[in-house]
Amino acid sequence: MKISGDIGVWVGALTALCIYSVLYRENPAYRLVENIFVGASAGIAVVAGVQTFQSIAWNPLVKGNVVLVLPIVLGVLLYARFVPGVSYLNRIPLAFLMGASAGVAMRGSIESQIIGQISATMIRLDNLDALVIFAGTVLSLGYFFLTYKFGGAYTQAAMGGRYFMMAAFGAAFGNTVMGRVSAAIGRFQFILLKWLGLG
Amino acid sequence: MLVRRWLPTAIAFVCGLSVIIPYFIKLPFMQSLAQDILQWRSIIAVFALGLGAVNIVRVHLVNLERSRGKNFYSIALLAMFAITILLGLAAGQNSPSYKFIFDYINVPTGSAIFSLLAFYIGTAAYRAFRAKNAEAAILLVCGCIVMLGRVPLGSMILPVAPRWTDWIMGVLNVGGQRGVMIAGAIGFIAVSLRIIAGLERRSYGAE
Amino acid sequence: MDIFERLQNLDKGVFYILMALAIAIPTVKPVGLPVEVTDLVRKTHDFVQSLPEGSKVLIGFDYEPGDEIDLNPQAIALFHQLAARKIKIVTIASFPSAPLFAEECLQVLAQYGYKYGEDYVDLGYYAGGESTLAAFGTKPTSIFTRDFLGNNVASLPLMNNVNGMKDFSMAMTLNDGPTNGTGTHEWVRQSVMAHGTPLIMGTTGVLAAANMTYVQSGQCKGILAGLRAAAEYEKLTGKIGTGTVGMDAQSMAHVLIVLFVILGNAAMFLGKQKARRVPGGGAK
Repeated sequence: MKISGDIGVWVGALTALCIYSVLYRENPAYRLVENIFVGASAGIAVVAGVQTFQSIAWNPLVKGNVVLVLPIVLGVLLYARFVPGVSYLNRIPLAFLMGASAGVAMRGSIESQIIGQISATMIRLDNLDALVIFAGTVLSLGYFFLTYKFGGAYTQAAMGGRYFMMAAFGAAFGNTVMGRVSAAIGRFQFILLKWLGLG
Repeated sequence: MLVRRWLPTAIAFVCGLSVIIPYFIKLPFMQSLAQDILQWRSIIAVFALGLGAVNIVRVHLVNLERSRGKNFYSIALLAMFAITILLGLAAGQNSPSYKFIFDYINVPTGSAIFSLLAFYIGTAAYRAFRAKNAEAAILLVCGCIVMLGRVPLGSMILPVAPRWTDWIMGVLNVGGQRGVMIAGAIGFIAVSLRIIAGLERRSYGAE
Repeated sequence: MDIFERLQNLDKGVFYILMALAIAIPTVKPVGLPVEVTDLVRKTHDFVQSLPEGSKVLIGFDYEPGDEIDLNPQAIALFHQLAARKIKIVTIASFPSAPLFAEECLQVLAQYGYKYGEDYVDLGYYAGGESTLAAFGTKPTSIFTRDFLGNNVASLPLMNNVNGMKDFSMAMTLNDGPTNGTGTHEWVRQSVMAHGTPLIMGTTGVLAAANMTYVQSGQCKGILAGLRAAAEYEKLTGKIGTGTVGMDAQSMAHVLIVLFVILGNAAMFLGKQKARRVPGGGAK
């Protein structure tokens, strides 16, 4: 066992252990590290924001693109929510954000998530796998007719859709476990190999 | 009324349409307008980043005031916030001191918090993951096969696990997820149209 | 309380300790279980291998601290493959801390003699998610005038011939979901559908299931899901890294969780059967 002499490694290992201490019970060490993490994350976001602002707005503005004063003013208006009496002004930049986002997302969704997916389901139904995918897509789509209550065979078909979705969620669960266990492996490697020098 | 209600609605409408139309109809002036709107949106989004930070500072300053400066956790949070910003802006994002905060405080803590779920999943798998009906049984069986198929030891225990995992992921899962995706996309398009048409004003705080 | 009730109500500390041991023991004493390469990862690798030498690729670092154990190894393995084929790399990031991960992963390029500004560029963070990616796809200089290191983007030789998404032979997103950043659906819309730029995905395990639909439809040319995919990619490129090292612990943890599931259900079923056999009582 060769314990690391690097102060950074010690800090990293001790912060991880403080977080893991919550598995026993909530304690001051866990809360302290949690708050430090929130402070650091917020600080990193602000630093990244300042650098991005310089790149996308300030530098072009200083070079003569004075029109950019308008989005900067709109951005400042976002903070009007903290000022009593004029807090309604923050709706203007929010409307800009929401309108543009809705437009950008919508225009691509039609092609990528509807037409693209439907055509992939229906073209070349020449093997069992393709037929199963077709059946699964149709049945699980049928499950989402929530505004009208059909009966009889339709209800059975909707149940079939549920079964396909349960299989999909089971696959998602299996992969989620993989992802979370990987995070734990990373921390254990850091603590056991890098900090304590075991193995 | 104009500024509170109609101006935001008009802005959402104009922005939304200006971004959608040039995607389908190639008009140079509309494409230029769309590009400008998206660039402006990026600038406004940078300010939105700061909203969260401002809110955190406000909340914790109130905590400190209420506790007469004795809330040690709020002091630690605000101190770390200030130190990170000072180091990042003064020394730069590539400086050793800023990277120290990122590599030895931010990343280990974030990873450890994410990885807590691995332990909670283990407990939940035993206590709550029960095959009480057909749907739960399907979910459970598919989940277990995928978990075994994804690791070398699993394929030694159940040699067909990798092949079954590929089939579950590539066929059963696609069938189920595709229906969810198409239905979700239709709902998403409906909500987007409502936002652009001014029928969903709550998304930007109007009545 | 009988044995079945006791089994169903085991203290959670028992599970935490078993889980910790299942990860810790193989970490300290690795066995070296062999990793077989799956068709999906091979398909992704082969697609990247088919890219023209000297072309440019765009890599999106779209994840936060917590997912670097899955996605950093994928990025590093991919960079080894790209550098061996002299393919130039431009990175962008939709999370504030992601450029630092990009900087860490890009360090492997030094061993191939890659020069910053000529062979690779880290443009840094962009705010605004999909809308900003859409603007970048049409005119990158409207979003980035400075790169992550503070250089003027116009002065970087690599960026001189980049006028939009169409100039990249491939885009890749290393993604952990859309919250506060750009997700996989957004990348499909803004690279594949808007500009016809082929896309591959590197995702955490959580996103793998939902994005298989894009791979099956051909909208996405390949996907790497989780640490296992990183290990397989490392095997294909011949550069063993942290992906492979973690597979033993991953194996033990997965098998343990499956055992928990089986045990929990066995205790439930046996408890129910016993309750039915008790005269005058039990489940109906």
